Amino acid sequence: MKNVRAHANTIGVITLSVVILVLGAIDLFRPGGLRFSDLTGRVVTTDTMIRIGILTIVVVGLNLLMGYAGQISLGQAGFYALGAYASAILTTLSTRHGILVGVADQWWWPWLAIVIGMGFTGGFAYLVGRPIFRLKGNYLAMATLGMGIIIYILAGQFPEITGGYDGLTGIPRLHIGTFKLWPMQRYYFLVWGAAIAVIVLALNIVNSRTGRAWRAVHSSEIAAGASGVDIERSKLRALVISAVFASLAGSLYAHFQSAVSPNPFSFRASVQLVVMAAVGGLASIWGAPFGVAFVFVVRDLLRSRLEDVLHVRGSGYELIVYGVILVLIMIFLPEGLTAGGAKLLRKRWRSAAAGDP
Amino acid sequence: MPAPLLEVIKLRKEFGGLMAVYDVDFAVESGEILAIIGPNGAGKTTVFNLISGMLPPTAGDIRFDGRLLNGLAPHAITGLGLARTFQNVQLFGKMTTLENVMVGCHSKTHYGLFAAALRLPSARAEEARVREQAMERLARVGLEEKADENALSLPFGQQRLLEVARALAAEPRLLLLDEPGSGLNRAEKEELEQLVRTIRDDGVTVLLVEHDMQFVMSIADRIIVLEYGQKIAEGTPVQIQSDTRVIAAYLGEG
Repeated sequence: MKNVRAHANTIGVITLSVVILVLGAIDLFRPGGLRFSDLTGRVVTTDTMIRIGILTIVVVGLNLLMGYAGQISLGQAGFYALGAYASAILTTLSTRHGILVGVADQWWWPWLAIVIGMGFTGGFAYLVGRPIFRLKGNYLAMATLGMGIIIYILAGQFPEITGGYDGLTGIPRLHIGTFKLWPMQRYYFLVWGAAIAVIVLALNIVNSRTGRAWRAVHSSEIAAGASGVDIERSKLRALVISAVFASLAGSLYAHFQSAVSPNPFSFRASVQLVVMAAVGGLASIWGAPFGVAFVFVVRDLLRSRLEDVLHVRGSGYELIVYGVILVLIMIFLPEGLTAGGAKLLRKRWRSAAAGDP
Repeated sequence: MPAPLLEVIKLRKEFGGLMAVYDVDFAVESGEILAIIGPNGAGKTTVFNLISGMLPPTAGDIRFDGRLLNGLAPHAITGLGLARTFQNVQLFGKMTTLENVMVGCHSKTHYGLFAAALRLPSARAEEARVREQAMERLARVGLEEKADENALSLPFGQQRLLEVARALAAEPRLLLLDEPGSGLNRAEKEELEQLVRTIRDDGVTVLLVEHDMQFVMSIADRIIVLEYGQKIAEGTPVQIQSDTRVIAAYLGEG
């Protein structure tokens, strides 16, 4: 049992990779005309899986920041937007503005743009976080709330650069050499490859001195400082990492949609991300994919099924039911689906082993 | 005579007109156990908070090994070799006993985020070393068998010992113990006294704040007495016990 726990993360990574590979292979090769969305009653399609993968990357970062370092961000969609717009702007330079023709047409340019976006967003997060973490108390929520809204508004301005409220289109698909990562059955592997890599990196960080420092700061800032932890730097690190992850996800989103507009990066999106992190379980990296998937599936299921049952379209009833489900989770599984669920299972096992009825 | 390890010069702390610490001078010599005593509200814990960087002084200097500590953040002071415990035990909940001590090693580890994220050999080697050292510190205070237990599940006396282990993990030259005996029973206090002595014998200088007179008199080499933020006496336990101002201060307290 102890052995299982010591290797739980390795087992988890392998299991997730196998599941992703099998699902992806079904859609890529369509054995006997089967698509994996057939297996899920059309609720989960390749499109949904890609969206889940992209947001998993954001939520893993948010989980490090909120669950481990104990700092709340209400503007994570802002960092996500920076990544998306960095890729969108940089990869359409030659087509829109005639800049960098010959360079911006190379297959590697969009990849470089992703890295530039991550660097820029990370640097931006550093500049936002530095003055905030000088202050005692949790001001990050307020600051990121404002930041997210400002980024959203700015994305709608300057049509020359951002395309305004119409956004930018014509973002190229990604290539490796001449191999095109499209149709989406191929893109799926890139997104989930990135998501799994981010999960592995996050697990490693969490189980290092940095992760310990975060948990220490979260638990008692006074004792963490006295133990030699630089509190300000520790929080800043978490913020920057979460921003870099969000930026990566934003870039993947831009290349998936082939277009960006301000709409998906509103304050609502930031709240949605926090909900996903909380539902999956704060302070649990594994909670991220489950939290994102749960929100997606429940929302989609409710939207399609409730309409069938109630015979009304666009009624908004699904939002009410969705809200109730979230409240119930927070009441009965306050640690989230993964940690809370695991605890429930352990209790079951223990009482079963003890011979309880 | 060698320079003192810690020098406190005309230290002053004002809280909105109230002088919590008023021009206090004292020095801690290398290798001694020095106790600060005094009635409630005498400013003992404030002195500790000033030394460890939790509070900025209003005036005065604090020198550790000749270096001015004023204005340094707590983590920087710990990095220089000055660790502390707290009157109200401040453990990291949701972390195991061993992990608590491993956090204490923070200033002694250096591998970066990149090495951590990719689990490079350098990170793994240092992590193994930290684990081993933390286990040693736990063994030092007799808690090695509780390594995997949640820190807050320990009985109170052991929580205090765990804090000492965590402070020792920073490899301090000066250890500040804030009321280490409070909340402990007689037997636990005797154990603690033994522990503090062995820590000193290993070359760590100890400065402690304590309420329990019997405990202080038997453990301290020298004692400083504070009253209303001012130093009213300094000397060996024998000298302090016969000091009229000290007796008055304590009797006056009731």
